[in-house]
Amino acid sequence: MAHMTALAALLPPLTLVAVLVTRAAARRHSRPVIGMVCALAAFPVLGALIVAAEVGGASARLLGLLAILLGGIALVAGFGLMERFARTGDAR
Amino acid sequence: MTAVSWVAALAWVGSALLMLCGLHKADSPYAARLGAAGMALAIGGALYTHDVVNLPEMVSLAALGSALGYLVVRSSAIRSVFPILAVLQLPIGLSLLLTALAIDRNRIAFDILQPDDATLTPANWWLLAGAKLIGALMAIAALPLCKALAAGAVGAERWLAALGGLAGWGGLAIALLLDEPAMAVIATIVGASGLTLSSLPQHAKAD
Repeated sequence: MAHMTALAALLPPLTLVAVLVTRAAARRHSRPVIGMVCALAAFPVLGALIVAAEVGGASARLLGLLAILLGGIALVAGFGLMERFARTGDAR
Repeated sequence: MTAVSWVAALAWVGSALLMLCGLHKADSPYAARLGAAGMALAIGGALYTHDVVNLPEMVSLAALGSALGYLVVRSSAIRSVFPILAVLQLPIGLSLLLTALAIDRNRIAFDILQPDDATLTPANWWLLAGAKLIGALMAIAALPLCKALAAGAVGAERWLAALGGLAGWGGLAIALLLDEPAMAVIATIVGASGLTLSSLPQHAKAD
């Protein structure tokens, strides 16, 4: 955990910024913000990519690759649905 | 603290800003593109800083996953967006769980053991257990939540936001295990946003 000191300083103000931005956006329209958070929630695929990129063992690599497959589905489907949602105007 | 490549640092800052902009402009037509651009930048930054040993398999599986995700988008009715977003929490939870299991099976590679190389450090044990628990919880809760959203249950959208936020906190555990600052930043944004949305009292009647 080499970056722990930097993260300890960075994450609390970032949390505050995220809370303020979300509150301000949700005050206007909450449904699209919920949709966007659900689409962004697919970010654990990032961890799956890093794990699959670095592991050498067969079973761990298989688990990492399966995680990429599942995360890829959620990532593309989430942002694709939000794009369609916004285009139809139902987002508001 | 170890030195970070300026290219990677730029990608991480850019991805965080794009995601915050996507959240702030969530009601605009280009919000999804901002979020997706932020995610693409984060993925590029993460892969740039790691030695990729399984690239052909990773690209194949990512392409297959993207194709399946595209099919989900094409075949779904736009009126059922929220129930489908709830179902998508199932693969996200499973992805989180599988990532945690893969780290657990390859402890030495990720340097999460105590100096004796036999047991996990207490902090890493808790982070790993937390990631597994959150992943399993998301996978279990996704389908009942989908049913509740399809039935128009009051407050179900708040639970959907909470589940999205939970992915953020599970991802933060993975990011700390992997010592990935970029992923920790994104995880914090998602976790804090989900928690905020689930705690706002006026969701059900806001729209």
